[in-house]
Amino acid sequence: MEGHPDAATVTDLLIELQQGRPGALDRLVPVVYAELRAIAAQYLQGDRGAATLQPTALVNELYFKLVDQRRTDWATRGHFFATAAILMRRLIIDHARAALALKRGGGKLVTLDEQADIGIADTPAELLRVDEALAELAEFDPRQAKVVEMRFFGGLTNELIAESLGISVATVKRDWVMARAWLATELGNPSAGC
Amino acid sequence: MKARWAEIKAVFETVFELPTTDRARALAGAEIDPWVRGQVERLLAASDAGAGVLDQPAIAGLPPLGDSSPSPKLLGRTLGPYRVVREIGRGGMGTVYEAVRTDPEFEHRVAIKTLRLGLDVPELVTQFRQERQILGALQHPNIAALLDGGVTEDGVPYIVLEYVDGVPIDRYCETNRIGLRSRLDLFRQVLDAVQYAHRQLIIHRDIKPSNILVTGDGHVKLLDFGIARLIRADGREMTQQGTSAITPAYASPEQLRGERATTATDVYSLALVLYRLLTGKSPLNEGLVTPVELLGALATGRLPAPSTDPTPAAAAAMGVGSTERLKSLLAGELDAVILKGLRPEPERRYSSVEAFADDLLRYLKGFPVSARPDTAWYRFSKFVRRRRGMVVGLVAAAVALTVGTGVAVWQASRAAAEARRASKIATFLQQMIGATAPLASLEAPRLGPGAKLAEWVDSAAGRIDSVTAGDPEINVVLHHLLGLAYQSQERPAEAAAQFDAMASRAGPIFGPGSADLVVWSFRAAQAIEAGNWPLADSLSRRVERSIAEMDPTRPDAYGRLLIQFGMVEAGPWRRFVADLATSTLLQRALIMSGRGEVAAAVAATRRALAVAESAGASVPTRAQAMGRLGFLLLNVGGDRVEGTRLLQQALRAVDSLPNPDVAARAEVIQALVSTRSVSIPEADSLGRELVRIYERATGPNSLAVAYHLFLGGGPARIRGDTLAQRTALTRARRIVEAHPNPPTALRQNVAIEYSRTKWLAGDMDSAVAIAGQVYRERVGQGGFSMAEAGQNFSSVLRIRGERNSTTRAADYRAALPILLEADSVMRSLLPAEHFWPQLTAASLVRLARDRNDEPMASRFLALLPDSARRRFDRPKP
Repeated sequence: MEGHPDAATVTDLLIELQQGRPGALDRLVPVVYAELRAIAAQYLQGDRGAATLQPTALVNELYFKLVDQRRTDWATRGHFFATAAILMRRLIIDHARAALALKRGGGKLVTLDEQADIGIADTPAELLRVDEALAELAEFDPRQAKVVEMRFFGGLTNELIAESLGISVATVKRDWVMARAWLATELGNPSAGC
Repeated sequence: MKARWAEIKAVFETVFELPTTDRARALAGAEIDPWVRGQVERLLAASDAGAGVLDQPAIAGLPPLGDSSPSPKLLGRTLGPYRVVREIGRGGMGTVYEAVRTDPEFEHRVAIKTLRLGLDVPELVTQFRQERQILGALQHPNIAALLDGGVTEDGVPYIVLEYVDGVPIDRYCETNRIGLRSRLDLFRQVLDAVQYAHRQLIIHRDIKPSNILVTGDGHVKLLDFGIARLIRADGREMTQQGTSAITPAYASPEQLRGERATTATDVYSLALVLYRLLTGKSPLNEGLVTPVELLGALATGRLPAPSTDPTPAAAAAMGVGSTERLKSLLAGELDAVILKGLRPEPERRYSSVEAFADDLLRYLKGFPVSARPDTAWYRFSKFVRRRRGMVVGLVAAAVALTVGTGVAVWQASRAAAEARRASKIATFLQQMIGATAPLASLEAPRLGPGAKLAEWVDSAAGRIDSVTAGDPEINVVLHHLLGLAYQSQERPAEAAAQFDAMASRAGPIFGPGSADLVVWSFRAAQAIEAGNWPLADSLSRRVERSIAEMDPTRPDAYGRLLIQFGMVEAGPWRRFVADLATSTLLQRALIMSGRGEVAAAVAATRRALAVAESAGASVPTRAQAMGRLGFLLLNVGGDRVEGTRLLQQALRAVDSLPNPDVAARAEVIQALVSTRSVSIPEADSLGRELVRIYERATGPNSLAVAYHLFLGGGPARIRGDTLAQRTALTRARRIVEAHPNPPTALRQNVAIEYSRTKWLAGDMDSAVAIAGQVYRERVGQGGFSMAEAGQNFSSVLRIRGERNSTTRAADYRAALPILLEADSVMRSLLPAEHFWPQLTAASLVRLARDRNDEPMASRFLALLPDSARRRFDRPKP
């Protein structure tokens, strides 16, 4: 496999982002997002076999494709994964909205109707509610919201989240436990017992 | 909420630290605002319960994504001669359909794969066509063939592939409970295919189990060969189309780094596939590691060895009994082979898929693999193990005479002696070769650079007595071991000296004449090699008698000693004795056939097989007996059907072993070649492999090399490759002629085969001289050997006469009595329908016709079956 044509750009932008150069993030996002979409499409289509439901693998692949590891250090990586998680969230929410629209419009996503028939939760709708609740959480506990974004949407491991946010793994775990509990109560999940 | 979040958070985190049972009490007792308490209680309850959608990654909750790029709807459409009938699946590269080709004469299924890339750029279309042509040239039984390709009306490129009705190799192995060896065999088919493609300069780039299908009849088919390359004909365009051509879980470090793929990249992915096949898992925790960890693991090469942690499911599916057993099967060589394929630096992996395949084959046959530290001792220990049959025979022979003599005494002092013995051996090895491992483990000591095995053996031989002063038992064992070492180096004089020393010293310790059997067996083998049949016969009779007196129920003193030192495999003693009895009978049969007593040889071999079966000999020994009997029946008289059946049975038995004895397998294969029951390419490659291995193990000019060159000439001749045959035999002859003391039978057989190459090359004078020399040597022996040489000599004479008018009369005259005698001997030894009497009869028909003696020609023609007679229907003009 030859190097990805955007690898140099992405790496440069990440380094700029890390140095606080204005506008770096704005230029970084479209490139990464385009690639992320492409990779995600394959995962969602089940082309990656057992790895289908492993977003970590997805983000890993994105990282290897877009970042020249010889020029980057842990701080750059942290920025990259934080960015990737934001984008994953956006991608998933976009997709959930599309799926929901299709369903409501009597579209061809038969699978959703079938799921409804056999009583499986309407996941795309729930994902949208998580997204909204998360936005609220970010207002009073931005770090917890970040942890949820990276773990739930980005599929990143606790270790990588800790590295990216510059906190301990124990803190990541604590943040996750509480944020998850809070989100569960907000979503009115029947099993949350409220 | 927002206002009091910090407060809630502080209480929640404090309480959450506590054990679940203590939380409620702690919270109730805390002096806090009731509202905050209520909030914390809610959160605690929620955290204990499942949180639905939050408990798996968000992406998992999404329904399958529709194809984002415009996907051609091909169902029901017709592309050229193909009618698309079903969608098989979708992938990142496109959609796969099943289609049928409807021709007037036949209908067959194909797979059609659309490639999701916009070919609106003319150069890309051209490139696509070029690549397709290259891939179309891949014609291999293990590669799903690219049959056709094109572009639909709406501009979507597609390729037509052979339809493969199979399942991914990992799933196939799992569901069919395929054993270790068969998994390796399947994997070798994969290697074969990749090796072939590499020779065509095509790299797969995306080898993974889902690209390797196995059909219902166990045939491997690789899919998507080079498609990765096809797809990436133009890197930039393709990636923006979202087509990633690699699968991270099976990608090499250089691919992950975005570097160019080479053949070493395929080697890496292949090793990963093999890893999965043998352990049931990947060395990398797929998808769950951070990129940092992933790249770190790959870059440092610190992947866990396959034997570290195979899954219980894999062990169960392979039927090896337990995970521990699987670990021990993988530990060592298979670990080394796989890890060599997985080295992070491409240049440190196997240099080619062929080298990878070679090493696996070597493993399967019990030869040392190259992936292991290659010390002389390691090679030597493998060599000894390989010749275990021989070693066992000699060792067990030594054991025989100790029954009932001095055993009690020996047992009494055993405990004390054992400790001394172990340390003595270690010391000896340390002093000799700097090793710390005990002899039994056969671990590789470090030899100095350039040290040769021969020098080591010499130096050890010179120091045995001084090192083992005061411990005569070890002294005996070491002389025995060095005798075997010399034997394996084809130094019979030195070997004899060691066995003599052993015999003279073993008497006082293990009872009178206790090691004589070793020496008798050794000398019998030497006599057989020299063609001294009377001596061989009397020695082997003695061995046979002694074995009959052995107690099969328990090992005796020397036996226990040898088991302890790992020179004899520990196992049921009864099986060991059965092996020994069988081997000795086979040796007797060898002597009989050497003396031309064919019927007696067949009978003795039958007896050997019967003893092996009834006494419970080991699988290799039983296979050897089966193989020998089959070989004899086919070659010197008997039922061809039974012979072929026995050989095939023997081959199956040999192949059922995890580590089959290569010599046994070679013997069976070579015998099968003569019946055309095995494919010539297989016999050919096996022959070449054996020559290569013996070149390294025993030196390029060893008799073992000559022997295998000689055997390899057979397949070459059948294949019609006279050049290969001539090359092999010329070399074999040179080795044998230069050897100070070559075994008579080998020398003569090489000469006979060599005379045929001279004849095929048109050099009739040399052919006559060589064939005549062998014949004259064998006249004295009489029997089959003489008749065989006579048939060859007379044929060579007749053909020279045909071609050369000056020698014609004399040649015909000389040939006739020799051939008539050969014919009558063959007829007396073998049934009329056997190969040899028929061959001599056919030769006589030709000679009679050449001499215009039609009455004689008809007389011998009448002895031939119809099928053979038809070839002589018209007398020669």
